[in-house]
Amino acid sequence: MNCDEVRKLLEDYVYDEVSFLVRNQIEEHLLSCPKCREEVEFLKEIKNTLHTMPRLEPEESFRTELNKKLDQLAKKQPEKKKRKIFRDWRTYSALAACLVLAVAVQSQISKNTDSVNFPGMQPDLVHETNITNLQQTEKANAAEDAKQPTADDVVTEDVRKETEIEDANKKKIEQITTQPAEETPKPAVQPTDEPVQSASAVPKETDVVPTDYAGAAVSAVQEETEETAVPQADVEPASLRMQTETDMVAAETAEDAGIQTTADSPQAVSGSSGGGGGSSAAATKTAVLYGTVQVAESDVSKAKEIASRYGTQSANAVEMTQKQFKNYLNTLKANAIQYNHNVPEGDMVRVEIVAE
Amino acid sequence: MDDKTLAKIQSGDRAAFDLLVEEYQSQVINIAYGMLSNREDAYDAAQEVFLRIYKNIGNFRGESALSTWIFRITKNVCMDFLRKRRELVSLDADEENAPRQDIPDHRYSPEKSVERTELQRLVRQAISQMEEKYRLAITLFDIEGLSYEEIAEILDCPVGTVKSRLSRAREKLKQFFLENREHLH
Repeated sequence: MNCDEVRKLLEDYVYDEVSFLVRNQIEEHLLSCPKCREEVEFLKEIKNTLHTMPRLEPEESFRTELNKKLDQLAKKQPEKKKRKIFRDWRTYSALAACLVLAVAVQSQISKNTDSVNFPGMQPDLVHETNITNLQQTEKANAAEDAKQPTADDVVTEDVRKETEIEDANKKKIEQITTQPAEETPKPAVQPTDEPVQSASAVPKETDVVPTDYAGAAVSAVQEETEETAVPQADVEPASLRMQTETDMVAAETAEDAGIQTTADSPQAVSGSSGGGGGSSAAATKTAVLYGTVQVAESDVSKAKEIASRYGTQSANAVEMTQKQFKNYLNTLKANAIQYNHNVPEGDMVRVEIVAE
Repeated sequence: MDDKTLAKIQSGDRAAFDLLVEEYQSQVINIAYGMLSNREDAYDAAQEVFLRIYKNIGNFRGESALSTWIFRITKNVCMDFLRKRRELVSLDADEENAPRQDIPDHRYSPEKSVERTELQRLVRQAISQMEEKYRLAITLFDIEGLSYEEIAEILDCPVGTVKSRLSRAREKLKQFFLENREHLH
């Protein structure tokens, strides 16, 4: 070995990281080379200095101060725990409410299109109506037929209301459903010489109301419904409650996340508020389901960074398809990031990454 | 730290948590000192580290050694401190959109140092002027005496990367020594 070869290996030699064979070769060279010996001495001196660097000793005040901070933290801690459980509970109930509403929308639309025999109705709409809905609709029709005498009393009034209700409903149906709203029959434009049909149509049309989220339109239709004494009218407050709850949960979740990120890691991105409102709107209109992925606090920034590769970032959350989300979780696993998540199954999910 | 004590800490037992602080405070403070090269900052950072440990110990599931987990938090806290320092520096310099870079730390002041010999002072000064990743590698390996594997786990990078960083760090140290040799003896 010449000097150049030996120099490259000297660091490893000093740190005992060369093989027995190489060690012998180096030592053989050192015997005959004062310059390399000097280099070895120099490296050893640095190594020893590093190993014997004086240490900062914990001062008494360190523990006292730490204990004070821990006392303050311990006072806040129980509150935080309660809030977490509460949040979980509300998240689940909100998801359940969304599911119920989605089913309600589906069945109400089917009922709506099926119950009025509009001549131009598309046959495929009939196929979409399931048997249960058909049976329910038939029962409802029978019940309503029995009430015809009372309905007759308000026929002329009904025609006016129907027009209003129909217009309002048409708008809502367009908002709520992805099914073609134009194909919804329009009994309101039927001539007034068919009072029975139009009168019986009123309660059915108002059935759509519980699926409605637009507060103003709901209350407008609600007044009408009360006048015509439709039995299903009492469903409405429940749906309104659900909607309010969804919003509150979303807001709460966003707020909570905000508190957590700022409390746990000062460098975390701020401005999480606003994400909640967006997510609730998205969840109701395009069925983007919301959930959180919880990772260890030290992994949050990495998990977020990975998430940004899988979907589109909006506010504090990332939107991705179910498939992307699965891939994302796999990548987390591959990166040895432990996680829990409460993201529901859905075509599109909106995921927020939070510290556990 | 045995499992029983850990379980107690996780259930919020402050006396048990005290044992953890007792066991790790010296290492945490000195890793922070290696990273921040400033006594007061090192103590402040160490306080923050133990507060974070206290808050998050419930999430520790034993996938890594407790010490690895603690040192990872230490690293993160120190990085936060350095980031804040950088922000202050860039605010002072009024540089908007300045590219992210490692700014050598010149806050090290020999007169307040704990180092006793000239050589030790030079080493500390050299470390304080290295890029963060080299500073961290040399602090964990040479000063704290952790293994390559443990450092790799803390830094979340392959062992090979740890070795090459160490090598670069020592190279810089050597360079610094050669440049400042006249201060020695």
